[in-house]
Amino acid sequence: MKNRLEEFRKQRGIRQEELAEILQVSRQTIGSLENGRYNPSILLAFKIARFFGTAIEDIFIYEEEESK
Amino acid sequence: MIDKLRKDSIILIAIGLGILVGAYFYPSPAVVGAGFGVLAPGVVRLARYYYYRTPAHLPEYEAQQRAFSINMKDERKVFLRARAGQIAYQILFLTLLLLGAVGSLFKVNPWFCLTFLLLALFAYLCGAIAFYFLSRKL
Repeated sequence: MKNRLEEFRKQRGIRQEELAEILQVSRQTIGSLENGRYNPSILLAFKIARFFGTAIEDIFIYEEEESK
Repeated sequence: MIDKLRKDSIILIAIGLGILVGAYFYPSPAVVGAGFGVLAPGVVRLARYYYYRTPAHLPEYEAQQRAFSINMKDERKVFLRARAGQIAYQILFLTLLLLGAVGSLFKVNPWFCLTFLLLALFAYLCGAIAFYFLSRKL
C-alpha cells in the first residue's frame, strides 16, 4: 500500500527512530512502512494518523488494483 | 526493573544448586549437565545485575529493556516470528514425512520409519488443534 508517511514525518522534522519511539514500534517497522514493504494494522494506522493529526486516508492510499 | 534481574538470578541459582544436590543422590551426566545448565545462566544474570545497578550503567540497562519490550510487542516482528514458525513447521513436517518414506524404501529399521511418521502425525495434529482453538478464540 502506498503511503505518505515519509512525507509527513519529514514535515515534522523527526527521524525514523524518534517516530518509532513515539509509536512504540521498532525503527525497522517505520522503514518498512515507508518503503511500502509492510502494511500496518488498523490500530497502528490509527495511532500514526492521530500522531500527525490527520485522517488515515490522508497518509495511507488504498488503490483498488492492490486488492487483486 | 533491575530487581527482577536479581530475583530471576537467585531463583535460577537455587534451582541449579538443587538439581546438583539431586545429582548426588542420582548420579547421572544428564542431571549434572542440567544442574550446571541452570546454574550458569543464574550466575551470569547475577553478574549482569551487579554490573548494571551502578548509576553509570543503569540508563544503558533501561534502554536495553525498552528496546527489548518494543521488539517483543512490535506488530511487524510478531508477524515475522509467526510466519517464521509457520515455515519451520512446514519444513519439519515435510522432512519427517520424507525421512519416513525414504527410510521405508531403503529398508531402514522399521522403528525409525515409524518414529518419523508418528512425529509427522504429531506435528500435524498439534497444528490442527492449535488452528481449531485459535479460530474459536478469534
